[in-house]
Amino acid sequence: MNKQKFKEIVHPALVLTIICLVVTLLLAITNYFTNQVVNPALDKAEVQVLMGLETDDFSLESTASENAYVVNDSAEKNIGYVILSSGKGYKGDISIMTGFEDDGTIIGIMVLESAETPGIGSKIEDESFLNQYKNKKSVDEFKVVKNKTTNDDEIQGISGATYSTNGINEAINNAMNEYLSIKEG
Amino acid sequence: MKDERKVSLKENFTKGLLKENPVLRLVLGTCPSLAITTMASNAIGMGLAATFVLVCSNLVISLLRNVIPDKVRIPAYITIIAGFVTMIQMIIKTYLPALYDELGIFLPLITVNCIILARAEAFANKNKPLASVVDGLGMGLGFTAALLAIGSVREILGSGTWFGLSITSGIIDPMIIFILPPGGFFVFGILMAIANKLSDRGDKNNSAPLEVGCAGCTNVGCNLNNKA
Repeated sequence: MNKQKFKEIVHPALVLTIICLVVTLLLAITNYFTNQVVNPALDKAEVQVLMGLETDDFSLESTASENAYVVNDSAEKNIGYVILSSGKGYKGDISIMTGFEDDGTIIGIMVLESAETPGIGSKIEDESFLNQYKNKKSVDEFKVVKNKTTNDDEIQGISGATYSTNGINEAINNAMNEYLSIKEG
Repeated sequence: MKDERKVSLKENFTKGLLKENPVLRLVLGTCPSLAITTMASNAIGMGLAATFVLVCSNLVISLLRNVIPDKVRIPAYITIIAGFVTMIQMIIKTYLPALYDELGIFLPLITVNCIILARAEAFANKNKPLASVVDGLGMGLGFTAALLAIGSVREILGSGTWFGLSITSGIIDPMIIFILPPGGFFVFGILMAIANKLSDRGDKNNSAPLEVGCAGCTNVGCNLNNKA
């Protein structure tokens, strides 16, 4: 009787434990191999595209802020800035990378992470929307408007995606503020 | 619990595609079917990831079917399934980061996708490894096909595109409701009706799924009482 009870309790627990150990081992191995492919915080190839550079003959210099980097050409001359920022979208944070000329003109914006609704909020990543920010010099604050824009610091929103557009706009404003504080300090 | 009729491998595979399509006929895995089908391209990634997990877990569970004691059946299955899901998650995150972002939370949720646990319970723990792998493949591809069908309809009607390519956007105004939750249900219901019609055709006597009873049951708990 005792031996049977023993088997009824110990055997299942033992099998389950062994399964857990084997699964854990396999996961550890997979994790080890996939982590070899390191994803750096700033992808040089992405920066090249963002800044519109012909070659990858440039370097990134960190600044006092951990989110802002100076882009220097091969002669160590400052050709602009790359700034990481984020804003609160409809579903979590929207992370972006903004490229600035030395004088503060926006070269381009690249969305790094966003979980907005596919087909609606995801339209903030469309070129037609982001191009509104291009070539604009830093203003006090960009504002999202529903109708046609009347001046340079207004951005036309995407209908049905108010939270998403406000979120990415906030991210861009944050990037601009970061640029200004780097420039001054 | 002997099966009444011997089922060929080919039948095992094809049943998952239409007659026992997990999404449209067995009504399993409905959460991802509604949530990620706003775009057709998501369907392929999600479907193949789920198929990978399904095949691997069916194989392992079938191999261990005489080893795992009844009492710890469910925890053992969940551990194995979660293990495979985590593995594919790590692989996709590293090699296909764009797809990883698109699938979001639904990738880890494959673990509790009813299809995988249901097939383990209803098939893999009673059949040989090869048959289980084939069943997993059929069910997985059926899942992918269903996702693709739902996703395509929703994307074409809701955004005017298919796989990102413009189809009707210049001519017809897209009906946004189709990429919102209500639209998902509309499309799902209609496709289920079509699948039922197609399955019944030419099958006058035997229109019930091969595994009667528990196969379509999403309440896995009831299986625990049926086992001796």
